Amino acid sequence: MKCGSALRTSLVGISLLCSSVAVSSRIQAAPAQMRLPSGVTLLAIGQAIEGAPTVYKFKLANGLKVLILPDSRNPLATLRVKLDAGSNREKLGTTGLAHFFEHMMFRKTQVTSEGHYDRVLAGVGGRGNAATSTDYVVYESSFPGPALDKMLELESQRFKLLDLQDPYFTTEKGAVISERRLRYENDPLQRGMEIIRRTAYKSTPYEWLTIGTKVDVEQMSIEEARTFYRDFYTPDNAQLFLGGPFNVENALQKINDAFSDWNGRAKIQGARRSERAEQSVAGKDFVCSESVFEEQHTLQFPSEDNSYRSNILIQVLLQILNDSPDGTMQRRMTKQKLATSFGLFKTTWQKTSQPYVAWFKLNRQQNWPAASDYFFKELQKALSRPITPELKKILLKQQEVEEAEVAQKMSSLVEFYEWNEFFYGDFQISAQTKKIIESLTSKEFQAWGRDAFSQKKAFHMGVTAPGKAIPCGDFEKTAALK
Amino acid sequence: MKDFVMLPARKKNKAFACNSVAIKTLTTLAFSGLVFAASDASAQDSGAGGALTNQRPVVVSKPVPLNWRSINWPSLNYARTPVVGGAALYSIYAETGKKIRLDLLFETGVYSLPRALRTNLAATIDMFLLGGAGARNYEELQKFLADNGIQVSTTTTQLGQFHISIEMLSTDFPLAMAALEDMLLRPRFDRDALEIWKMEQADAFQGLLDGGNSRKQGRFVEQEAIRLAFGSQHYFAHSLARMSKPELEKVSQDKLRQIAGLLVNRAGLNVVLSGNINSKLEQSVVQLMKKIPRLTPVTYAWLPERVQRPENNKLRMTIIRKADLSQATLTLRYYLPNIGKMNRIERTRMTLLREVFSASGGVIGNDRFSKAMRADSGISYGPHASFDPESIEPNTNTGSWRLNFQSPNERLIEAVKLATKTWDSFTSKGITQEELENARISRINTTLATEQTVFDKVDDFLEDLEARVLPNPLGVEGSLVRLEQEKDLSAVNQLLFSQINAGTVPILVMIGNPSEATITELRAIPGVEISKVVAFEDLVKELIEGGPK
Repeated sequence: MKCGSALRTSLVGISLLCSSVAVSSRIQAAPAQMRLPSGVTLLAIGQAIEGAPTVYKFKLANGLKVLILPDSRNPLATLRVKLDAGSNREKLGTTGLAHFFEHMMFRKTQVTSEGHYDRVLAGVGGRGNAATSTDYVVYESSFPGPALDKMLELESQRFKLLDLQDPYFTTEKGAVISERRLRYENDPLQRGMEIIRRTAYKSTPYEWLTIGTKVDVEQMSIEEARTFYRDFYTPDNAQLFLGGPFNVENALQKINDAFSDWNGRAKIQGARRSERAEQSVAGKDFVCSESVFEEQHTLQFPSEDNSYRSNILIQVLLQILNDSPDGTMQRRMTKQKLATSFGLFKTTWQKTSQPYVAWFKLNRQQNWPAASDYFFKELQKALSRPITPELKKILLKQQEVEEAEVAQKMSSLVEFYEWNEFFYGDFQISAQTKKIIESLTSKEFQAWGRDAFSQKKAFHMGVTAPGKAIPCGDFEKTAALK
Repeated sequence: MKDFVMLPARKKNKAFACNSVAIKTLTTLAFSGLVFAASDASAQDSGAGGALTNQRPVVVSKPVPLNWRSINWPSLNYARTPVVGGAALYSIYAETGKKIRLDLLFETGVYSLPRALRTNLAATIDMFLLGGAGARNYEELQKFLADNGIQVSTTTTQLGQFHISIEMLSTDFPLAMAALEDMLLRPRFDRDALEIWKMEQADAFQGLLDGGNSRKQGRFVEQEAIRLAFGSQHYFAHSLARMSKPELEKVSQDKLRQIAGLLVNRAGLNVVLSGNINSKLEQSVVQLMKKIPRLTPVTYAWLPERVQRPENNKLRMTIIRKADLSQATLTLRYYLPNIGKMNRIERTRMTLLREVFSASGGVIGNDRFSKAMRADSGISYGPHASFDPESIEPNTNTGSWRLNFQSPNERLIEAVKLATKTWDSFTSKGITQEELENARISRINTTLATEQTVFDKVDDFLEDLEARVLPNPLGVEGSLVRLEQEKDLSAVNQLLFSQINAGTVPILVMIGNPSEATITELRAIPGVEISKVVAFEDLVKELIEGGPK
């Protein structure tokens, strides 16, 4: 049974908006009686979502930023450590290192044996995971509140004293090679996208997949991994988020005890910025064919506007695109047999150009030029429509719903604050959403839209069904000749 | 609160959600949105493996018992209001939070209607939402719901019942109730909307047939596993073909109306109202319930067939060959056709056994299966195993163990031998006292690491209602006490041995690209019988024609 993808997809944009909301944000004064460990600074106290517990932001003497969300609704605690050590920190020749390193963090330290992390985590009844993206790596664990001391010890050991050595390094390399086969090499769509991306994003840190190129993964060395650990796994390059049934001062003291002797300074700052001239790809089609039934296409609109406001405005645009008696944008494209899915979002990348992206799924019978023409036609209509009070009311309602959902769970709140803190340096930035919507004028919106969605600077990436484009296996040769 | 029984990869009703207006979180969206722009890869959730081997040192750290008795575990606070005509309203109160959720669980569903109507039933359930309601066509209804932040899903439960769930802010309750009343009492099943539904189903079906990723491949593996264990004529052996062209052609507006007239029945209706609610809202729900017609009570008309015991006890195997796969995905299953309905003590013991064999389904390493297939051998990328006491629900007499893993094509022989050897050791020797102690402590501690909103509790509550039982008022504490008591190693092992001795039906299905030599070698393994080697393209062809004949 197919599961309602049409509906869900059509609301993706709205959801982005709704998830980035806040009603009553305020910086609160620090309680005079709060006792801070030596060298620790209180940076902010706030509440980005009405009714949610207050959040406390500190900085340890070694540069580690710490956010604590005391929340006693459940005995559960969650601990997340996020580092600015995603695959955009890599360079050609060592791609995949960020993700590979994430695997290694679950293995051996200088003071604990192989498998210790998993065993202790299971023993306290906890769960742990990690994720690597182009922009960051995040280590997450959830566990019963009473296990905090144990978990802080466990977490800090691997950040301070990871032991990179064989045979674990070599075994883990095999694991990543296997993962690569499963996720990418054995999936024709992903296989095709890897090739397309390599060409369209050439000379940027987004040229390669987070998992790395096949050759780089196979040739990865322990020495490179040690360098990566030394350069990027440093307290000033990390943020720690703790939520759960804790007294703030006690929790802070424990965190400081566990992490204050984590030393080092991130060696490379700002190395990942794209130097590519966007004009070199403007108007181009990066399309190849694979053995897929369902095609994927994106229109990418490069943008230097990295503001939080731009994330809100694209949701306003999507809401307008969806507002039609004939149904949402996706529904209309489905009815007219132009596409099977549609979405619109702003890429969240760090400190580099962040394209606006319109994405489409087509079946074999549908054709891209018709879908693309329809999109641009509807886009122009949407950008000429006024920003009405009714539209604002709908957007604010959806914001309120999402806010209520996020506030339901401590773990959702922590994740929410983490995202804003990492990408915007302000865990309360979502409080601006309401203000941005309420003050938005038609003129401002249209000016933003004209700049953001200029057809001249857009480029097209796609993987089509066989026979509709050059086979992906031959694509790079052809692209090189051009 | 349920007993601590590990279920396979199904998450309550949500896994069956088919139509919903939903809003996701920022992070989820940001990740999902980056389909083309970026990629994420995680290590722990997917495990690790590969072509290299090593030996790991023994891990000696002991689990730390946490004091669960120091925690104030609140009882589930609910009230039951009977509604004339064989229905009931359950109110679950949560004063904090702004949201309200209303769930309607109708008695009629998959197993009370003829099997031949299954695709029409699926369409009917989807089209309560997608077909428009009252004065609104679907587009108008969708806009109304989205503009007011109202989320609706129409689904079937694990036991086949028709389930509608609707969530809203408390301030929008009247709007949501009006929409719900239209959907239930004035569904439109618009013809043009039905055609779009058919088109979307056909696209999804065609998309499945390229078998392009592990999720799609897994559906073929599942189908072949059912065929191997239950026979090719079994009800579940046809599930993929339900959306094939021949089946979709049987779906009609008339049939949908006919089925809807049977589904919306007050007799046997259970309704759960939860969140920030009050007596006024309860009354308005009761009024709606009274408007739902009371029809003749229904019961099961049929149930899925049980496992057919083969003539021998060999491990029967199906191999699906797909030429472009450089590694294989495998499921090794041991069906237990004679375990009957397990009691709470047995369920707790099975939880502990499963914890030792595959902790948390293999998400965390160091359990027996993960250690063998991943840590020590480096064969499998993400091994995990589960025990399901009701593997062909709602027929509850058959349980199963499912061991899922991957292997490079060139290491298939080694992988199959290692998986079966690990299983054989587990089922012949049982677990050790130390493993039992560690598993007990781990499971108790895990309970302290749960995060439940009132709506999560409603999910548990609904599962009980589906199974026609009421929740245990002791909830979490009752389960914790049961876990604490399970210290008798011989009793725990005896349960495992007795289940195995009652007879297992072992099967293995793989999708990959093994060489002829590998197949020959597999065939030569003692106790193995290769039932079928089939090309992926042939399975696709069969599906296009509407499934097995």
